[in-house]
Amino acid sequence: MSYREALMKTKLFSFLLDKILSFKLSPIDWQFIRRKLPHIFLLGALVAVGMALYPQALCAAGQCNEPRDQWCGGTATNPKCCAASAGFTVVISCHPADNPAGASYCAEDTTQVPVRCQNNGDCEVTEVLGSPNRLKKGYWYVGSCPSISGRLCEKPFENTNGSRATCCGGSDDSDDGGCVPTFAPPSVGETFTSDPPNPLPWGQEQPPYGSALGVTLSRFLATGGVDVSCNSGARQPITSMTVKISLQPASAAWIENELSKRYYGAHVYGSYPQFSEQPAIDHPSSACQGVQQIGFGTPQAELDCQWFKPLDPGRYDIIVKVCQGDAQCREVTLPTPLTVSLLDTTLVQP
Amino acid sequence: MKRFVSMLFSLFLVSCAATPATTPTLIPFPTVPVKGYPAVSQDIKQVVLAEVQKPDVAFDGVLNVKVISSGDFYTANITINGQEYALDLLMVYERNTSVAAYPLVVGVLKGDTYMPSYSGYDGEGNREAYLDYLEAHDILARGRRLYPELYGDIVTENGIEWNRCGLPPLQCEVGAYMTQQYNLDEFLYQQMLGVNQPIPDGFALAWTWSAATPENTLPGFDKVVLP
Repeated sequence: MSYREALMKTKLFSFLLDKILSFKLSPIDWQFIRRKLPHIFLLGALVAVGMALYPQALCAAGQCNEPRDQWCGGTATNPKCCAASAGFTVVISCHPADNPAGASYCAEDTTQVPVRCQNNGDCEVTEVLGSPNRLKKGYWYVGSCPSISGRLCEKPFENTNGSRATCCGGSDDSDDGGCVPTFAPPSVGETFTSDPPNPLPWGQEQPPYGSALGVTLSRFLATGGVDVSCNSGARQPITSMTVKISLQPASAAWIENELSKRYYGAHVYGSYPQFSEQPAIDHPSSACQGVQQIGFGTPQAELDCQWFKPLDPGRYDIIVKVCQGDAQCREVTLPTPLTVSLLDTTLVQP
Repeated sequence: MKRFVSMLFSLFLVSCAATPATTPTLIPFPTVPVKGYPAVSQDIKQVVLAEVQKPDVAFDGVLNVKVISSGDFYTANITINGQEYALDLLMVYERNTSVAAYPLVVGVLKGDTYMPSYSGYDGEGNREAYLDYLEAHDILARGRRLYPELYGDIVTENGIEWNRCGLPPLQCEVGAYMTQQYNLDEFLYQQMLGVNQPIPDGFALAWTWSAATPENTLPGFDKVVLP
């Protein structure tokens, strides 16, 4: 710094100091204030409205990282903001696939559908930017695959796995007050296999298996319920599966009314529902018993080798009960009953 | 004594400096460019990336990929252990970390035996009937979503162990050959096949596969519109 510049600065400093020291407060001009009072109130109101709308304004712009969006319900440690959504999932196709044990099921193929949230006051989805559009009354339906039938899969269900459609971001960590997932009940596959395919009542079987074959039912499939609150795609693990059979009332009536006319004294022998049993060690079905449960503790589980002694001929309802990790259970009667045929007439060449 | 040691040290330093540094001799390494399938064009890559979701990472017991048919069907002959195999192949685009192009085995002919790979076919086991079926149902159409998979004991943490193969023998033989010859299973596991290296000519995916059809797929989603 040159001498000249230093001198100038010193002069400027002393000038300002003089001015400050000589400043005198003028009396308050109440008339001026009164005149400007409406302006002051208007300005204050504008500031208040601006502050109130600030989060929503950011939300509408898709950039509300801070402060958190109150509407989305986050916390300070787990902020949930109205973020630009990457899209919502939709199941578009169901194709046959196999689990590691070789059990077939319908696997889902999915696509992402972009959406937009443009409301000023909340983060609800306002526009679906692709197809298929699964937005119905504020809920987004991901869809799901039906149970496999043979080796065929049908089209996906379109009205399942619904959850609130929003652009609320942030992690769904329930520990710190974020989105707490709740799960749908487990689902049960509609199919099963029967060995032998056409069983007879216990004791009517013919060689080579002897006279007590019974029936072994397998391939019961279950899927854990999906998260319906936070749209996380998480599923509950299957914890238990049980199968029981029950003679249909119509078959019981047939035995009591029709069959008893033909075979005097015929009546219903079994008591129902009947649970699976453990065959004797030398029974042909005992080999199956070692591998009953596959995938338990995961969302896709299979129950095999359920052995029964059907004492009566007729149609049996198959009732499957499945429970999952959150203790929700579902009991389902499968659409196809088990038919146990009466060995009625033995023809012998004269 | 001190002076003597310091002199010795100085002499050592001088001798080091005087010794000319040995320049490493560069031996030219013969690089043989791998002849591979052509890279996927940028416009096709963009469509596949946008339209097909990357499948879940493989886990023990199941391995699956998602591919899109290019519509290019052809036949190639290979020799395994001195025996001739005719492979019916379909060029597909796999959606992995990026997009890779390679052929998918549609069926294998060895002698008079034919093995279809499409799991949705349950007709006669002869090649003509099978290919007629595929054509009649438009299964190999350009853009069709296809789902190759491998499951069971054969899929292990260490890779595909074809000696445990529970699939039809022809499929196992061709699959094992592909693993031995090209050793690409690890890339398939990591969803990195063809991402950083070309896929060598001759490789084909010999897995069973299913397809998105109008029967199991929402209208308009069974095929991807490829440029």
